[in-house]
Amino acid sequence: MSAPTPPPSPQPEPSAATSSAARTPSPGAPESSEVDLSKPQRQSKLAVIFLAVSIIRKLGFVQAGVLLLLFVRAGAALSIGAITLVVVGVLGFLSYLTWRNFTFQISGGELVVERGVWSTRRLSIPAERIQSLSIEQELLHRVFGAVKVTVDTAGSDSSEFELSAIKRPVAEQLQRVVLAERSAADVAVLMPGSKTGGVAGTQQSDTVVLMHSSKRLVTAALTAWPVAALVLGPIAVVLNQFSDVSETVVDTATRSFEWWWIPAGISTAVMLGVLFNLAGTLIQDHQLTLRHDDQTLRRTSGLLSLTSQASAIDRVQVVTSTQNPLQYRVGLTHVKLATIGSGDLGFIGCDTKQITEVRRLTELTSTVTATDERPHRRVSTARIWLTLRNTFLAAVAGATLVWPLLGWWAMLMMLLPISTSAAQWRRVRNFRWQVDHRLITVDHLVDRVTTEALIRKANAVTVSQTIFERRRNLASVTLATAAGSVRVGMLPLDEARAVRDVVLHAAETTRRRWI
Amino acid sequence: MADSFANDPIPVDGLPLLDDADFTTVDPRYANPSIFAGLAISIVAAGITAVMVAQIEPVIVPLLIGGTIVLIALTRAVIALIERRVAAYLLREHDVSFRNGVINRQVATIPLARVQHVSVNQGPIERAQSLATLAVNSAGPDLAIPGLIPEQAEQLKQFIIKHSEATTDDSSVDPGLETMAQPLPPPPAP
Repeated sequence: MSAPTPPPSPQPEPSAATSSAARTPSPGAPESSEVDLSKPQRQSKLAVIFLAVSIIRKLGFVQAGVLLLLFVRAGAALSIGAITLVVVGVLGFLSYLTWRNFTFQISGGELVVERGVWSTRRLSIPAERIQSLSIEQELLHRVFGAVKVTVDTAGSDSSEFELSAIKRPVAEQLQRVVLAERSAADVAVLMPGSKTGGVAGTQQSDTVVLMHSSKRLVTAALTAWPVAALVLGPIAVVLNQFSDVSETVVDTATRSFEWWWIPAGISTAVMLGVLFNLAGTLIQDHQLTLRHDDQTLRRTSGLLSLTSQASAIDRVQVVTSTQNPLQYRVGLTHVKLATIGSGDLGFIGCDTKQITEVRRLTELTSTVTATDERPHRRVSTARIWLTLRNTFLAAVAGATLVWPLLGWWAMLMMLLPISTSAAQWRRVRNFRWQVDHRLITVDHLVDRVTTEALIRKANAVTVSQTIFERRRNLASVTLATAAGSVRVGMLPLDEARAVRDVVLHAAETTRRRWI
Repeated sequence: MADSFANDPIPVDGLPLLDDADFTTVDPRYANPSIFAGLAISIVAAGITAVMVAQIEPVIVPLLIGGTIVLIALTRAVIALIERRVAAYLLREHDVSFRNGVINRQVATIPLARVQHVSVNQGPIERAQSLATLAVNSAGPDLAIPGLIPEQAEQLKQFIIKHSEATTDDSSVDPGLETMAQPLPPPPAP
């Protein structure tokens, strides 16, 4: 259970008798421990528990509670026991039925799921339509060595269905077979296009892109913003409303207030935040690993509950990397790969080499031309004036409103336009963008946020102008992909239009997969 | 996969440009419902405000609330009135664009190769006006072009569907169709 690594076991045989002999994607003999996925399979028996939980959730916890309360009021202690027994029995029976009538298999390049107690529903998803197949292991799963599998397609924002508990090897086999089927389909697509494709797909040689040690995770956690305590603050305030004890505490506190309480409070909050970050990171991102083969990326992590997410490389649409000042010092970056569907892949604490590798995998670094220079284009400084004007007007309005209450203190509002436009000045001065084979923006106010997307993956391009921009012949251009977008604001209209035309040209002439 | 991928820089001068002059304006009647709705709401709100002013003691309260509602509704009506002249679309060989907006003017373009599905919608009011809305959906943002003549909308839809198919699929053999052509597997044993 130590390493979430799928063992380099031989390829399973995904289609035996049922699928026609059109193609046999992966050769290799099935091991004895592996199940025959071409036959309908049931989930592990543990799934009954999870199904029971999901049934309760479907009925609604509230309704269940109300029902229970009604019974408690009506009857004596004896009847409570009887009722509990009946409820558990009925629930168990229902979830057993659900479990019995739920089968999954892979046949003819499709993942087929049959379910339903009263009326059978058959859901078949072609393997190449599957966006991601993620394996998760919650605490309860861990005890029994089972995992949860979630399958996601592009059609909907939520996941299509989940297998609440199956044995881990079966899940990994499923993941491999589905992705192999996908790759086989890719080869079929790419083969007629002469030089590309070819060897893609069939062999599964995972390469490790990054694997974070605990030391790296600790560094990443320590340098992250300690904002976790900010979430606790409001909760504490809300809790205050309900308890008399803390009210008296607050009362005495306000009476005997000392100035040093403020820095003490702030440093406590920061320390709490750091602790939360540390604990969260070490538990969630334990042994954070990114592997890839020809077609897919696979992210695994977790100490208590293991998560394994797999997504085709082509599905990655936008790559965002974020660095706060501390992380800039230690040279670590948080990288997020936005993919279609629900499976965004996030990686904390990546160093430059790892980022380069991720960018190379997602084709953001061009291998042919040396156009991968640092972005150097700037945007108009007009944005600073816009900010100054708007906040000045807002501050004047605010000051006149609070003038009767505060008198001259209202003039403090005038600090607002100064500070915000100073921030805007820094932002505009640091902002860089560039368009070549990808559109990239670097936004650096406090955090340094780099967003890039391949222009051939554009789903829509929008050139927009506010009244302010129109008067100065400026415009904003937005490249929207199927998952996330890249936006450059306040640049000359001609330039914005040129960006649009370049992006459209790339998107319309490409013959490559974008999804 | 990355090795076989050429990525030459593109000279911007040689690219086809999306020109504002080529846009076709849509039928201005599409805005009538929103104009009338704006006017109607402002009239009703003004009436209610008048009644309230007569009844409630600090006159300023209903006056402020009612005035704001009337102002917002009227602004929306005026914006819809002006937007009729802005709303325009452009269909090119490989993409479809729609221009709209008064305060924030925008031109959105979707490459036909990225179109997921197209539909022609006609609400009850549009049917009475014999107008239609063409909805173009991509995996990312969507376009809705209102104020089209139904036949025209249908033609646009056909064109877009045809060209989205032609550009997405390079190979003559569609692997998706191949898998679908396989006979269904026998039902699993109960």
